Amino acid sequence: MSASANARLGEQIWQKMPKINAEFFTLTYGAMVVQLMRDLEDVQLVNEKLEKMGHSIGCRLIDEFLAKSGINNCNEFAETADVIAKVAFKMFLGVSVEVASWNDEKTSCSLLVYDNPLTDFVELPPNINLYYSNVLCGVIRGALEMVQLRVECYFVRDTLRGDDVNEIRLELKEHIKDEMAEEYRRE
Amino acid sequence: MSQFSDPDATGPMAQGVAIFGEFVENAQGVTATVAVIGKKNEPLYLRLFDEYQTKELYFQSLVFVSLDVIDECVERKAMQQDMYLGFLCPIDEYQIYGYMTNSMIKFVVVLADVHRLQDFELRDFFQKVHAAYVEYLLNPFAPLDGDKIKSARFDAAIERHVATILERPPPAPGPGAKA
Repeated sequence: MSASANARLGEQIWQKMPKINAEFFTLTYGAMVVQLMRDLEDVQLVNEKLEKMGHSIGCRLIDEFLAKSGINNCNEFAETADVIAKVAFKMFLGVSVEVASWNDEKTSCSLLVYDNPLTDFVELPPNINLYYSNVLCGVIRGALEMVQLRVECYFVRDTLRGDDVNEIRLELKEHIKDEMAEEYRRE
Repeated sequence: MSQFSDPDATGPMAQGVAIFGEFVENAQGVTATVAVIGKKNEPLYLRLFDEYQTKELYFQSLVFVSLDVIDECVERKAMQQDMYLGFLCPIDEYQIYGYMTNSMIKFVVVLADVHRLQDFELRDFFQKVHAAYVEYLLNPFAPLDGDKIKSARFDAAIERHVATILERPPPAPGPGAKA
């Protein structure tokens, strides 16, 4: 499926998705992050916790995504990245994301999020090593794990820290072997 | 009352009077002051717009004086829905205007006499400042318990809005200050 077709598909599904109030969503997420900061008291732990929470969300969300988008297997990782950027982000967050800076082996790329709805209103306290939207990394990792792709996902640039764009680096580590299924097939 | 001043100061009024003497010569020095006062009349924000920021105590005392007028205003206008309190009082060569939200947050502006602003301009200005304050409060990291407002974004918004009413270019943004 070509890139523009994915963008159209994303747009179509976005029309059909149920919406919630953006401020409600943003403030809920903000309250959660601040509560985590208060509870865990260590920013590094907060980053990890957000990623873990995202992972659980991703593991659940992937089925919703596949069911509503009707997307079939992707042939290569480049296609996967494009589907995430153009369909998944559009579908769940209503924003379009750009895929850029592929490496030579086509196993890692950057997702450029120009407009991150999680960070509306947010202003980080100075000198704090928090990746505020780290939950997104977790969601991507969890979702891809469910479709047999082990990836690493992390923030490289963050507008909250003064960068001009949010950049999420997405690195493919391995294809998870589907061993259980083969065993069942033999029986 | 003077939470802005450092404890070593000899008292805001004494300094205010002392400053007053030299101040007349520099009437153009400070053209506007914007203050945000919290629910319990605690100062949340005070910003002077001048070349040299030395008259803070003087303006702080002006703002505090105006709080009494606001109280009177509120009693008088208790039945009204309007948050814009309008012209509060003249002090020296300044005019003080006020605005109070339904949550008892007060915005006070001290303007030099030379700026003859129309009522609707000020109303518009206060609404913009109110909007900036709301946006500041929506930041989940913003403290709720009456702490001073420390936000580059709020600073930038105030600078922008003051620049529009005073019709002069905003100062060059400092590091980290983003529109």
